[in-house]
Amino acid sequence: MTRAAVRANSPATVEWVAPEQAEFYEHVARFARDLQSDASERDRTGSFSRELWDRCAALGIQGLPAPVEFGGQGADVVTTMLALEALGYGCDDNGLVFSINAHLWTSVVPLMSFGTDEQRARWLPNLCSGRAIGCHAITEPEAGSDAFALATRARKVEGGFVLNGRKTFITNAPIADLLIVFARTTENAAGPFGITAFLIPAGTEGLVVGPPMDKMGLRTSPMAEVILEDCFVPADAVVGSLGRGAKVFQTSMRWERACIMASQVGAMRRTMERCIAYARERRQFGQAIGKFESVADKIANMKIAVDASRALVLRVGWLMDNGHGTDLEAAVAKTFVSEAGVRVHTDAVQVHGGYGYMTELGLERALRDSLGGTIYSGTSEIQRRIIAGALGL
Amino acid sequence: MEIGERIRGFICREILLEDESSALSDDTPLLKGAMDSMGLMQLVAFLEEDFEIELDDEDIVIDNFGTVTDIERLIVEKVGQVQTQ
Repeated sequence: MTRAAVRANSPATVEWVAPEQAEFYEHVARFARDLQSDASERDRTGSFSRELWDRCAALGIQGLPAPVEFGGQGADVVTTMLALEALGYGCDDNGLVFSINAHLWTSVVPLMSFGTDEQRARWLPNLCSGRAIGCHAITEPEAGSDAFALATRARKVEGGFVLNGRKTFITNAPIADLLIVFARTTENAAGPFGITAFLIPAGTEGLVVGPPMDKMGLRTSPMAEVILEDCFVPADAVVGSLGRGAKVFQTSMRWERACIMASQVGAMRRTMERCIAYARERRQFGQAIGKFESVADKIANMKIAVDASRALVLRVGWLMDNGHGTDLEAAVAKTFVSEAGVRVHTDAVQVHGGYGYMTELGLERALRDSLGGTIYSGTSEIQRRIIAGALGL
Repeated sequence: MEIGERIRGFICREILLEDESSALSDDTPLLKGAMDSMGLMQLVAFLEEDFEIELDDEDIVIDNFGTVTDIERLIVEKVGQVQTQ
């Protein structure tokens, strides 16, 4: 292996990763490389691969942070992040990796954190094994970044609640077996209060999932609207406390912002290594294009982006594992990594020239996929508001 | 320390990141820009822990969180309920 390849490949360049964590990273990366994804073809048709989902589940990915007693792996946050980075590195189906992330942070995590014993016993083993797919539904046509301004209402009735409203941009909705739906239960509540999270199995009467939405990137991760029309749920469908759904949502976002970027780090590393290989092999004007500073600088910037991104992501993981708050640090990581991802993939297309612009190499797909990162889980603009607020501005 | 002073101190110190409690009066509107949703969630967690009370869904309404005075009134009521139990 060349000196450059050694330096580019080794996760051990992060000194504070334990040997067993580095070993686990390699194990997941090897597995992910063997997935032999047909993502380019499915990107065109917007198709999700249940087969690849099941293979990831068989490795334990879908239950990484969940307690072992419920079928999870009991992994700490840093180990979870490393596994998701390795998955993003080895598997070029970014949509599949995104769907797995959404499943983890919007169903597994809220249930393991707030679920009753009955809810956890019923759902977590199936979610962790991948037999069931989960998602949450909070975003509405008029409540995007201002998520708590939601219009969906849950009216208390005998034995439970009746929900009415419309949700949009719901990742995994077309394939979900279980949805955690957020609805307002108290009028005149202050700020994020008065919102409750409800656990609703797919197929419940009054819960309608719309047709898959056509989108720019992450096209192998299905997304749809969810409509609630007099949807009755029993009282024991409440996740957490009545009126405290915002806490459930914030917990999901805390994990999601921190961990979903780990997969983005892996994708950036994969792309960087492709660029290194191409720049060493492709010759123009009598020499490898990597010898031209304008090309080499782009790839050097990719290396900076990968290393800095990984450090920012793992810092959040370490803080979470040690019981510290991470609102600021997760916002910093989310903003930096998602924007670095766009730069890395834009430069990767440029480094590959005309070939990069063609769909065959998959780089334009990776660029389209990366653009979602600055929007989902809170836009870059929202993240900067969180950062500025934490700085007293 | 008085209830209002403890509430004001927390908001200034932990949410607004201001050194001086005087930056916030008892009648400053809190829900019209002074505090965002994360700040409000921090405040409710502080109130429940510091005053050893439980706030119900019906307690956390605009009328009870408009100003420090409103919150103080709510806390006095809730603490009183705890003491008479």
